[in-house]
Amino acid sequence: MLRISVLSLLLLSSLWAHKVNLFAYDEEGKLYVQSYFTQSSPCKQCIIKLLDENQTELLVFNTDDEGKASTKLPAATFTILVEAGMGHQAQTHYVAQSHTKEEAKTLPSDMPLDKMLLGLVIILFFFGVLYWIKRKPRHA
Amino acid sequence: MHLSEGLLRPEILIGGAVVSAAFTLYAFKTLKDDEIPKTAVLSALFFLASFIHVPIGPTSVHLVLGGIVGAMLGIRAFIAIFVALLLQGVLFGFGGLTTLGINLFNLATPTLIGYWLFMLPSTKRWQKDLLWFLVGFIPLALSAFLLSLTLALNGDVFVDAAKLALMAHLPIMFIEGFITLFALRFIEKVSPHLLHVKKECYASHKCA
Repeated sequence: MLRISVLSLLLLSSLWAHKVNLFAYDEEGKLYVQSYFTQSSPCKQCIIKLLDENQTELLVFNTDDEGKASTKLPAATFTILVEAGMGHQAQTHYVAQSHTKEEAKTLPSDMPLDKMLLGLVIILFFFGVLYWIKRKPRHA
Repeated sequence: MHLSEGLLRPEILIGGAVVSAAFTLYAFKTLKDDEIPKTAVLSALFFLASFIHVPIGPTSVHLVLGGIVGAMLGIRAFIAIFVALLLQGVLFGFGGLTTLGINLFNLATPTLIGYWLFMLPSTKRWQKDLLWFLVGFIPLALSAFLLSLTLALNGDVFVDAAKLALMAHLPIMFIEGFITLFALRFIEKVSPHLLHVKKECYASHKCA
């Protein structure tokens, strides 16, 4: 039954990742940040901190209900940190006027099935090896 | 429910890692070969459950299913959850390697309460159903409590952190309670030996 359950879960189309994602770009001196758990679940009212290389806070602000926020660029390079609460956070080093717009087209999908399958194969392999190590000798 | 890398103080990370390592090593040492297939299946279940995500308010919560893992595995739940968390961290960036110990502690320790609830004697159908619902409900509530405690030890205001964690996970606690209840009832119907073996084991104290 559990094997069937596992396979059923695998086939569910409503599987999403649980990870804070962060996307940022700048335009005409303004920084635009978007944070989300999935495309359908924005990081609402999450705290965004812009830190310099000494981890000093340059700016602190919140996302709106769509997980978006914008502010004036505080420096040419800085770290963007998003705190989603309950231990969830994401951060990235940001260089202003970079080609981050291109990244929007290459963002990985929320739930790569190939990685999920890889995870299941690794679990199978790991416990297979464990069984081989732990198995009782048949001709003692 | 997964604490991210770079968030917690080193002493919390080390403390969580040491306690979790002790439980996990004990579970590995006493694991018998005939328990391995069930442990592998429940590890896969735990690995996949975290991808079923429900957006609630400003944050996002996901299924854990630690209760059913604990009920069916007991102390072996540490092995199943350790493997699942390791892969979630390495492949998907949920949690991370440095937070593996504290995440394992927060998620696996409450499953032992699920095991204890599962083993409580019950004579009537409604008593059993209530216990099996609590097997799903209570471990998740305890995990949310431990998460709040961890954040409080890290410097967050405990009451605020606990309130947010418990409120955010309350709907999932009920969902997991019902999923666990129906899953255990189904297993009882189609493969009762999976549950009865455990109970005999427990009664005779032969399952280390």
